[in-house]
Amino acid sequence: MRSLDYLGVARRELTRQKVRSGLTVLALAISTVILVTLAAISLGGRQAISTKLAPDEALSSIVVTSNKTSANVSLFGSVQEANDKTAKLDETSLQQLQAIPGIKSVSPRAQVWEFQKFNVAGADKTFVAQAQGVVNNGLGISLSAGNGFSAADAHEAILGKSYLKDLGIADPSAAIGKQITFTTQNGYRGDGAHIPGALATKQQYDSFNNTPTQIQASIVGISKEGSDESKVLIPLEWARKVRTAQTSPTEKTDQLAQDGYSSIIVNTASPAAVTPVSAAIDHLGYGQVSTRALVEKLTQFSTIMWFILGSVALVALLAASLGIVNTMLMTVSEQRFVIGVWRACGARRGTIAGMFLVQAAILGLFGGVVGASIGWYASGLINERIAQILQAQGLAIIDIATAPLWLCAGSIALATLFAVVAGLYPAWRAARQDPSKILHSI
Amino acid sequence: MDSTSDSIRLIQVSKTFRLGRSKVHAVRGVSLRIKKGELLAIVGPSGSGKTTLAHIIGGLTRPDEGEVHINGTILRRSDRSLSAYRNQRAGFIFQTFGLLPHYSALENVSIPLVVAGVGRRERKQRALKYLKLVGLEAQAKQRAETLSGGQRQRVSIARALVQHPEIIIADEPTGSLDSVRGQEIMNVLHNLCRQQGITVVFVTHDLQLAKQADRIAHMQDGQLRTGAADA
Repeated sequence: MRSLDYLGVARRELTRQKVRSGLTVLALAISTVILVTLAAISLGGRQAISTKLAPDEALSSIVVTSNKTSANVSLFGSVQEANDKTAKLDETSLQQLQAIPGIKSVSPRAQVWEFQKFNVAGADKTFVAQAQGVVNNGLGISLSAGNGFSAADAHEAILGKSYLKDLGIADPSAAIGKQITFTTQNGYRGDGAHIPGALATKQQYDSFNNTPTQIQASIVGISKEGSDESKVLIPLEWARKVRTAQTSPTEKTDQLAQDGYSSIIVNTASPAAVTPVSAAIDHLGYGQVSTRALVEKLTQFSTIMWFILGSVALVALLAASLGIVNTMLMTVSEQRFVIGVWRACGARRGTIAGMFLVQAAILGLFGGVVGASIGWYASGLINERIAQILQAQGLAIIDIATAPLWLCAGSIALATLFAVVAGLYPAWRAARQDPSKILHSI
Repeated sequence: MDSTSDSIRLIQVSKTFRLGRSKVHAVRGVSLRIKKGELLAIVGPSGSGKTTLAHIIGGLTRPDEGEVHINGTILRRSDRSLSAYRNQRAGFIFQTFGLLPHYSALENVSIPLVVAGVGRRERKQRALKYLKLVGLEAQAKQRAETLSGGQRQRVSIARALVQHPEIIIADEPTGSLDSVRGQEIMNVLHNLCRQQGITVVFVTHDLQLAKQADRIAHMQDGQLRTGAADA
């Protein structure tokens, strides 16, 4: 019997029971929709991790912290113990880190707690400042517009890209040169502070202690998407000046020297060097967090999610396959006469089995095509809705669900395969029918 | 009797069916010779084993014991051999016609050709030729369920002939027809034997019809009482 004839016979028999065939296709289609949508969400998550969190340069960097507990990155949070070991990050730390083989550069970062808010000229919005002092060009800061700082203590800032949307600036280069004004905490005593003189009245002191200081700088760069996209970076030496408080007319306290750097960004020669360098940093007694480790953990989490979601989808497909077994067994029972006639006309057992397997495959194929199409459309719809939500919250837009062609084609193939496997037993039953008994009883 | 002229030869053929826990000996040690171009009627009461014997001759069921020889060669018991035999050398005509109701007359006649893997164009030509032979060319595209009883049986005959078989097995071919239509079918079977040299084995419980055969084989309790032709 020819392949096309198998298809023709299958089409004839399936269209005889339109409602039953339609419902079976629908059950398979629903399972395939679940499969495609869940797989698309899982894939989208993995892609978001690799594109947003792990650009090439980020994979080579390690954030060194004073607290060792921070090394134990967990997706479910970490517990800091009261007796956690802390090591101050200072010039000695920088020298120790620079001595580790495989390190390309070491860049300290200082959190500027004194800056509390900032606003940009031409925009009426005020943002909570997350200012950090960094060395010139940041060594690891990728800029989407502008250049690094002109001097180590210049009143200049590199603005995170995520602020541009709220500032109504589409082109990052348009923000270069704009004035940025930092608002300090009340009673600020660092660089640029207007501290009352020794002869000031109590009222003047009270007023000083209850008033913030406005410090201006100009924007010289816009950082790219990544870990710095929601930060404002200023030159390290200016940060040091800001953090140096005039505690008395004759005395100044360098709080940066006192507290140490908040973190040190270590850039390794290659992503492969991250693991040995991390071990060396750990050996020195510092805490460290690497993007690579974070990405690995997230990827691990995403893989687990992939398996869980995939299993749910497979269970749905399995349930639909049981429906096919049921449908096909009913079909075999109803088509006993048809089987008898074909057998009397010379059809072999294998031919009969083939007829039923092709029927099952057609059901699977149709269910798969309908399901994959709806799943693909649903993935687009999910992305559209999520994008609206992210946009409303001023967050970067990511595709949460990705349904590539291979996923759709694979789902169709899987649905067809499940249907064929589900059709094996009914096909075997059909092939085992005794034509003599069938034709004797009619 | 010269065995080389035998179209069909059965040697000590037996067939037992299981019916729950009990066994039914449908055919018991039947030996039979049928000459080429002979019209043999198998008669007997209900449950005597005549249909089972016809199905064994037609390769639709395997005997438990004994041998079936077709034109001097033993009929092997494998599914492949029996299926090929049913497709190319034997044709069936059933009391209830055995047509697929949702298929057209043309498609029903084409079934053995579809099984044989004959191309679409050729099988249409051949099926139409045999529908014309039974006078149903005009009804070729009509669904089998819309045809009259006589027309259906003629479609059934066309299907049985479409592969140029050596043997036709007809199980109560006139059972669902009136006497006029029944006689028409008997005339067709006669002509097949006389003009085309096809061996026809037909099962009936109607002795008047059986008398039109060249020979009558009487079955009772699974055994052949008369008409074995010196098997």
